[in-house]
Amino acid sequence: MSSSAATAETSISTRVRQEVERTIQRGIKGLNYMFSDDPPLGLTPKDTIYKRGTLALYHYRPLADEVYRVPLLFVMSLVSKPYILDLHPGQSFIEYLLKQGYDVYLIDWGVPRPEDSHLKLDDYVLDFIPDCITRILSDSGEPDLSILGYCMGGMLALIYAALHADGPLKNLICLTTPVNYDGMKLMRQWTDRRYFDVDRIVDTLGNVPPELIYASFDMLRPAAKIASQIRLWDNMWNDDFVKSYRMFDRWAADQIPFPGECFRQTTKDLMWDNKLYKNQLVLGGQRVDLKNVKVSFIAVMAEHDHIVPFEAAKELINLISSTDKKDIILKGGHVSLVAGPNASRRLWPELDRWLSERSL
Amino acid sequence: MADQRSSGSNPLSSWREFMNQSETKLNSLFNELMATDGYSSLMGRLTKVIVSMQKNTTDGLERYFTAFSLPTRTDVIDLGKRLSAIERRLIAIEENLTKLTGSDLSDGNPAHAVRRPTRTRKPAAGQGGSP
Repeated sequence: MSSSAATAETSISTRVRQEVERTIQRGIKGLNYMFSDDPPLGLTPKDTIYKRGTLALYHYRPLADEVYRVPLLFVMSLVSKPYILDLHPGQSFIEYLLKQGYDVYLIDWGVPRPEDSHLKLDDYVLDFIPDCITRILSDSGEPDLSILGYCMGGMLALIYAALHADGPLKNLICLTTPVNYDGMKLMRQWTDRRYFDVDRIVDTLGNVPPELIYASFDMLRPAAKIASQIRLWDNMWNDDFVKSYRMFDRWAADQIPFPGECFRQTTKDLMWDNKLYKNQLVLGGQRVDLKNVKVSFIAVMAEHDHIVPFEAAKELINLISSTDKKDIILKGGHVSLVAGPNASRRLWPELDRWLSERSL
Repeated sequence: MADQRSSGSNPLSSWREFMNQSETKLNSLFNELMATDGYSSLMGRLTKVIVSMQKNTTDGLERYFTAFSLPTRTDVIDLGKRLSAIERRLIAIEENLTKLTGSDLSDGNPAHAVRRPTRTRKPAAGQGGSP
């Protein structure tokens, strides 16, 4: 037998042995998967410095001996829980920033109750966010702050910045933030005013149930669910893969209700009439003119974002007046942009580089 | 993940590649189908039916609950609103007390007040993105 034939035979036998071992591991770990709890999430130590209804304002305990002067506030989306930004020690965006020396605060909107169905964008942008900012400035003793908004949280932060041009905002970071709703083609099609009776839904249900939100996100990639289940089984032998899968799967399924009036407003003013993009959105009697945004600004988009497609976010930088502004596109999807191993290599250090010089 | 990247030497690599491609193709196919007026119209009608059923069930239950002198969902929501109003007033009172006494009543955790690092940090040389 030639040496190359012998090598090939050894290689095949190694592969077969490896596959048999993995198959056994899949069986054992599959059973363990079914009967064990999800890993605990959102563990970075924090204090609740303010509560108001379901809203909680957290201050994370510093992990550095010396912090940057300007505090940083995270504003989360209204339809998902904020622990995606604080998944697990070693895989937490917030923990990373704390270690880099930022003083971090976060607004957790909580789970809206039935009596919160009257809440509108106006309440979030003109009342809740400014209220929290006042408390952060008082708590930190600083006159200004940076805001980082993720997804719809970015949009809330952006509108806040436009309506408070003379406010204490120093830096604005918008991650995967939709601004041109014409770019959200599928969502727009599904909520077409000819077929989608938003008034009936809100008038009947009050808050929009989380199942509806979850289903609509799922429908954007209908084959992803089954494919991810197959991939999970294929990688069941791999503890790191399973742990990561469980964390992301738990977060994705942990949707929260959308306050009814806010959903009606989002559907009519943003999805149907694209008013934010056209500078026609009016909140609390004030027109939201994005040209009023003049603070240091960075927008980050994900190359394969299926929830906020590139077309929906790319125009943002052209709509504001900031002179110190940039946008970047990173590899990844809507969630993997901010969480997981790729985020820790791409987004986190990139934002740290940008923000550190502007936090003095 | 790591395993997927090293799949070139794996006997199941072709199957994995096939699955990835199938997922992409199926997503595109379904997305095309779901981007039609017909699909939106169907979903719109389906949503109306579900919402109407929900409304009828809620209305029916409210009548039964009222007949048996039990609190309905509307009653519970009204109670929730009143509780929220009381909560708001309590917070306002608490804040006023804090201002008057100068002590922090809102946060009972002493650890919060203890650790306050100096706010003098500077970026490491060559780290910052120039403004």
